[in-house]
Amino acid sequence: MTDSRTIRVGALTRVEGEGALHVELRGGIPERVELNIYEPPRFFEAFLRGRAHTEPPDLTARICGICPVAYQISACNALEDACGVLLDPQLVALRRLLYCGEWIHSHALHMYLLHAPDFLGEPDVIAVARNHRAAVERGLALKKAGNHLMELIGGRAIHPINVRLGGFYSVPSAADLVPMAELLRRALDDALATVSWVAGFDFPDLTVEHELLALTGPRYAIEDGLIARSAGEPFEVAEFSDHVRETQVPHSTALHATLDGARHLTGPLARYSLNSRLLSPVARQAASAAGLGDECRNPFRSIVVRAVETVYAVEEALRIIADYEPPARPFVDVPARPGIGHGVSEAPRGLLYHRYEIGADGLITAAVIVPPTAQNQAAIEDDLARVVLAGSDLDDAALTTLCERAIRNYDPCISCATHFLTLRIDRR
Amino acid sequence: MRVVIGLGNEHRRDDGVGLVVAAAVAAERPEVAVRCCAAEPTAILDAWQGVARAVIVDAAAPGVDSVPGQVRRRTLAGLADTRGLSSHDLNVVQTYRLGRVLDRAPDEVVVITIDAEDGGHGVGLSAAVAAAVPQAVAAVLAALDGPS
Repeated sequence: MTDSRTIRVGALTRVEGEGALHVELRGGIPERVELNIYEPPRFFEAFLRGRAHTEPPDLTARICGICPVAYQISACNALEDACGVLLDPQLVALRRLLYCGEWIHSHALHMYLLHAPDFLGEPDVIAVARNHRAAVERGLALKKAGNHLMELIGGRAIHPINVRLGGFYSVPSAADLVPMAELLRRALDDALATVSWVAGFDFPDLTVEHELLALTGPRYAIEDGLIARSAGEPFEVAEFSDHVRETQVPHSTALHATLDGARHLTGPLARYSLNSRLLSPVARQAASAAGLGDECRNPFRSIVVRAVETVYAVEEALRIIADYEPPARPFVDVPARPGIGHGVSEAPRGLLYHRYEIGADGLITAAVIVPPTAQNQAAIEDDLARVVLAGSDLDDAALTTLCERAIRNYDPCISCATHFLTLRIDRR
Repeated sequence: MRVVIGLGNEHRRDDGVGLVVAAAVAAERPEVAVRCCAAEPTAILDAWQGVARAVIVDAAAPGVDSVPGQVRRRTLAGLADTRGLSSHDLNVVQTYRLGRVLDRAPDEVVVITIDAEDGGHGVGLSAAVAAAVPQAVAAVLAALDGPS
């Protein structure tokens, strides 16, 4: 092996969007690690200007087919904040129920179809199904439960159409939710079995020291919350831009973001580490049995955290359904008023921030959207540097595989980040 | 049992033609099992569960050889196993391969495609694709009723 080498991966698989990875090693030391996101910028923030204040929830939902609810809810939160409107508690509960559906569907998709093959040494879920048929059937059943919940509350599983500013176009009756509860009770067994299954995988050693950023609240944060961090005081949503700054880097069409000038991490590891005490007793017990402590800083174990969060989301959905009282009105009027509003929620991949400015004519004059994958790019590059350093004696094929695994730990959504992977490793 | 499965997105112009054709088949032949869904694996696996033959109707993305409105009969083996509009899920060919492993795939899949002209945002078919709907319906029914 020479002192210096270059390894290239042209297009990452099992991630959403288009990107590449370029790694240069000098004497086994990673000198340059760049996540090259080449998917074209999508200019959502620009074309939202001049649109009615009621439009961003539906328009921004189109940023992602996996987490449209996250975009809808962060947008609603920001615009309702700008207009000074508070929702009825039953409508907030219904939003959380819809969001639970997205967590269940998105986590099941990532764990079973995209991430599990990495731990089982298989190229894809089809190969996994040959040797782990029952597990794949279980994953598909979980995903289906999440899809059904999104269809029930949101009107359809992909890009729901029943969400509007102030609430929903229509709300279900208590009787409408009864069959869903039966499906979710079976899903809870599947979710718990998933935790046991993924806990048995082998996890490479990696401990990250990035500062963690996630929402917190009286319950494990999903649809709203206060912004918490691992090394500092929590701050208000309106202060987000004071702390999280976006910058352009030459090698990516997605903006990078820093927290008070330093690299940070959002997503399941951050959520769990900052909020594990808020999980339900059953989810906490499952986490403990899976070997998780109060916090988790190994990105390879994020699949265990996602499994625990799936248990929680199913339980939360069951709790909300059990307590459900149909809202007195399906939505609250949100008349436009000039001003600025900020909104956050916990997308499956992490904290999603929206900011809107509304003009005197009720039209959007400025929009800012900061998705989780954009925030996590610097953390992903740092993880890659560590993985490459630890694995520098591996041959190029093995190192490439390890790098791709390190990236899939984040379930990155490049399409969101450009609002991602070809791998190139350069050893010299 | 046989089923017609319309795939597509009505909000991406000609990508909605599979749904339009499936609806027309349902109107013309009410006794035929017709399902409409996005190209999402759990929905497709459910749609063709326990059937002997599935006829899938979908738009074909504009390509080098495409002729807007051209109706073509294909087999899954004849479709390229390529990344679709989303790399974050399984495409129809991958879903069929997964279904075979799980014993949840039909014995036979016929694919009727209509070459798309416009895959942009918005509702409504292009003139060429709209004009091809009757021919696509006939092709679907022929595939449904024909011998294996």
